[in-house]
Amino acid sequence: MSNATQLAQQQGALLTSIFATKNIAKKTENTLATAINTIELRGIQVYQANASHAAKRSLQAAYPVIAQLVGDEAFAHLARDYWAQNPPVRGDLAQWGGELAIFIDGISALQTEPYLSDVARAEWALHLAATAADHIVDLATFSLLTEHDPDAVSLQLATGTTLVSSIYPVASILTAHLYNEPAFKTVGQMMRSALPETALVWRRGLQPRVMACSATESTFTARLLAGQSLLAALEAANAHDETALDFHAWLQIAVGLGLVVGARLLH
Amino acid sequence: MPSNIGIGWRHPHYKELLENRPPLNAVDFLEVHSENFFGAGGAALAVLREGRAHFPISLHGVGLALGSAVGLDGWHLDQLAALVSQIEPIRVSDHACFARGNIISGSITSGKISNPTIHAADLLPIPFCNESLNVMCANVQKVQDRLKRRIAVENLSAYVTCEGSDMPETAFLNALAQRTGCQLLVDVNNIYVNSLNDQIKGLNEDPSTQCKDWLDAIVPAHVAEIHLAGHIDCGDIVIDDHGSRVKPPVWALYRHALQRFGNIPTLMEWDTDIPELDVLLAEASLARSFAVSAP
Repeated sequence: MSNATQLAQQQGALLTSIFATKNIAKKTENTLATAINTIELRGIQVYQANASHAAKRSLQAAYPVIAQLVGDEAFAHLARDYWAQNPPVRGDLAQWGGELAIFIDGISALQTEPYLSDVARAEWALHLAATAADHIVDLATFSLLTEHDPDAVSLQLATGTTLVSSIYPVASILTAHLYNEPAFKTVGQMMRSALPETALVWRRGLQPRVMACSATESTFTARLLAGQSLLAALEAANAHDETALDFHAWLQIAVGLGLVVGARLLH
Repeated sequence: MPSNIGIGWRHPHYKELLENRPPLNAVDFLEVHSENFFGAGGAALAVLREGRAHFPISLHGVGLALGSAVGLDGWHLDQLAALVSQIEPIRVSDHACFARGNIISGSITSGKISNPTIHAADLLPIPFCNESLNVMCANVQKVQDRLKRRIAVENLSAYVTCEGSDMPETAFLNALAQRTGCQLLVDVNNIYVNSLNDQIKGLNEDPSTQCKDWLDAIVPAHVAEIHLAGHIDCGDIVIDDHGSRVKPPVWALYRHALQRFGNIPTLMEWDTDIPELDVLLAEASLARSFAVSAP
């Protein structure tokens, strides 16, 4: 065995002793024997404490609403378990945590709160939007909408724009916690009525935002995100049974919200 | 050489420091953790750009994992290169540590991990031996080639002892600087924390003397920056937590370091239980009082 391989194995053993749970550490006792002989248990505990702290702090930064919903102690456990089973692979912890929704789905103790995973998906979209590439609002390009046929133009959406659909009022759960509206009492009523929602996530300037959008708006936005023309997006949106999208009214609001930042020619 | 004192610029002070900018004779540079600004855009990067308009910036990394035998993460290096290109920092630095490695098969409970190479998100110690030096040199050289500039590498506070060390840490760091042309970032608090922990283990009787010997063994021409911070004594172990004022013995070592290295740029770090900005500036001012009195 080369010295380089030995060094890699030594480092792997230290990592394993920090990450492995107590039960698993017993199973790998033989493999770890060399490492355990050469390291001090108290030191390992310091690194494990660092890891627990980093896990909770990082996950809380990305999922502040999940943290509030499950409570501080449960969230600390969730972060620790997620860290152990989905360890970071990047040196930037802001990149860690994207699989939390799937992880939550697999936790039996959280099945009584089945909306949590959808809230987590929407929060991760907000987290990603926060550091997405900056966009430029180009109001002059809106003249393209009057100069060209609607099948030749599309709308430029803000950076980080994402849709998260749920059979739960996921957008209202988020906005109640983040913006204090609607009232929690109202969200409770929506939950009891099994009201589905689609959360629209985007970045307004430097600020990630979320709001509920109708099925019509969701279809329209999804088609724009897919790069389709304004005409195709409108036709798809208006195929819904709901009231047809009032494009001009919608556009005025969307520009005001910073959701639409310009128009573009498709070809 | 005039004094040159910087402070760690952390989230609680982003707004205050930009709104009430301390004069440059109070803060010569701001240090930030590179990884906190790896995003392509957004508020954090906008804040850093604004800070850069008023202060020199030192980019200090905590995630390159320069001592990892499995090598660097290309993604990480790409992000750092993009940030350096934008910010044009006065210094780029990271640690003489590892963090990336392959976990032992079956040690993760879910067993679903497709990539066995993980990142500990911590600064883990490396043995001071030729093989480890070869790894460090190769990784440091790769970073410097990519960034087209020298970086500085910081000594670590270590809580476990690595098997296989056959040279002093100072010889390791001097050789690293000699072979790669990198600079050294001397963390005086880390040296003292290691000595206190050695004392707990019965490996030395006089931490201050051990630390002075450590400083005296470092080639002055390699040193680019000094770090100062607080630590916490838990009784059975001393932890470099960056959560309090610099302790008197560390100030004494700082004075010794300045006498040996000259008025090297010095960073006041405070990363946990971050105090009011005025407290941090007062610590920086105290550091400056040592620096200007150095010969």
